[in-house]
Amino acid sequence: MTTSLLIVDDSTFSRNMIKRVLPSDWDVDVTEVICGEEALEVCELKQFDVIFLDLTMPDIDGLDVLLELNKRNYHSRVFIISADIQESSKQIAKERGALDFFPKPIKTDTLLAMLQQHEVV
Amino acid sequence: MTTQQEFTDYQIDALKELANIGMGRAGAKLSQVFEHRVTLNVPNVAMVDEDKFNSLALKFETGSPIVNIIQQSFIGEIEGRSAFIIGGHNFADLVNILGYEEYDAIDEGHQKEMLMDISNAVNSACLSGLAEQLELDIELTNPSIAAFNTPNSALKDFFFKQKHQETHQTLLFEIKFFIKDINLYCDNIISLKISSLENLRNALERLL
Repeated sequence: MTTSLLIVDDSTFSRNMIKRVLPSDWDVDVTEVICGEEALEVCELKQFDVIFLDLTMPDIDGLDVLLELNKRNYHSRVFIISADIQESSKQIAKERGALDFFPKPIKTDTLLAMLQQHEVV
Repeated sequence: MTTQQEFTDYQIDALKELANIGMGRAGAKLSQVFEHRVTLNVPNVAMVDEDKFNSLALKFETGSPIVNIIQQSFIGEIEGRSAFIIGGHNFADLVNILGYEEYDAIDEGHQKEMLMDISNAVNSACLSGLAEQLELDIELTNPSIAAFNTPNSALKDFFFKQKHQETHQTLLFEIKFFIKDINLYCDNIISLKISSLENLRNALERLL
C-alpha cells in the first residue's frame, strides 16, 4: 500500500537530500511544500499518512504548524527533520505530537532505523 | 561572468541550508550556555557588495544601546572572517545571567575572555556545519575583541573600518539568534574571501 508523505521544508536542497535518503523499497507518494503556510493548506485538502516537518522556516515555523494541526484535530505521523537541535525544541515538538526527531543532515541508516522503530516501514 | 553569477540559486539555497545546520549547532550551544531557548531564523546567504555587507551589519538591533563585537578569522581550504555581535544587555547583566561571581563581573579581562569563549563556540558550530558537509578543512584563529561594552553607534565605525578588502564583493552569511527570555540578541556575520569562492563552488558541486 502506498504511503502518502508530505515533506515541509523551505530549502529545495534539503528536500532533495531527504528524498535521496528515503528507503528504496518504501512505496511512497511524495508531496513537497516550501513553508508552514503551504503545509497547512495542503493538509486542508488531503490526509497524509506521514509528514516530515522542518522547524526553522520563514513564515510559520514547524512548531506552530504542529500547534495548528492539533487545533484542527489533524492526525498524521509527524517526524521533525531539523537543524534546530535544542533540547527544548525536541521537547516542544514531542509535546505537540511529533513522533520523533531527526537532526540534519539526515542519513539513510538513521532515517530507516527510526521509521522502522515507529513501524512506518 | 561576474562573481554575482558564480553561484546559482540552487547553490545559494544549498549554502543556506548548510549554514542552517551550523546555526542549529550554534543555537544549541548558546541554549546550553544561557540556559534558555534560542529563537532561530533562516540564515541569509548572498553575494553582496561590501557596502551592502556594512549596511546589513549596521541593521543589528539590540533593544539596548550597548554592544560587543568579537572578530575571528578562519583559514584553510576556504578563508574568511566573522564578526559576532552580542547585545541587548550590558556586561554586568550578562555576567549575572551566566551565573558568574561578582568578582568576575568587575574583572574586564575575564569578561572579554567570556565573550571570546562564546564567540569561539558559536563560530566553531556555525562553520563546522558548512565545512563538514563540504568536506573542507578549516581552522579558526584566536578571536579578538573589536568592541567591548560599546555604544551601538560604534558599529558604524567598526564595519566601515573593515572596508579595505581586495574586492568589492563578498559572500555573506548572516546568522541571527535571539533569546527572548533574557532579551539577548546575537548576530554572526561571516564573509568569505573572494579567493576562496572557487574552492567553495567545487566542493558544492561535489555535494550536489
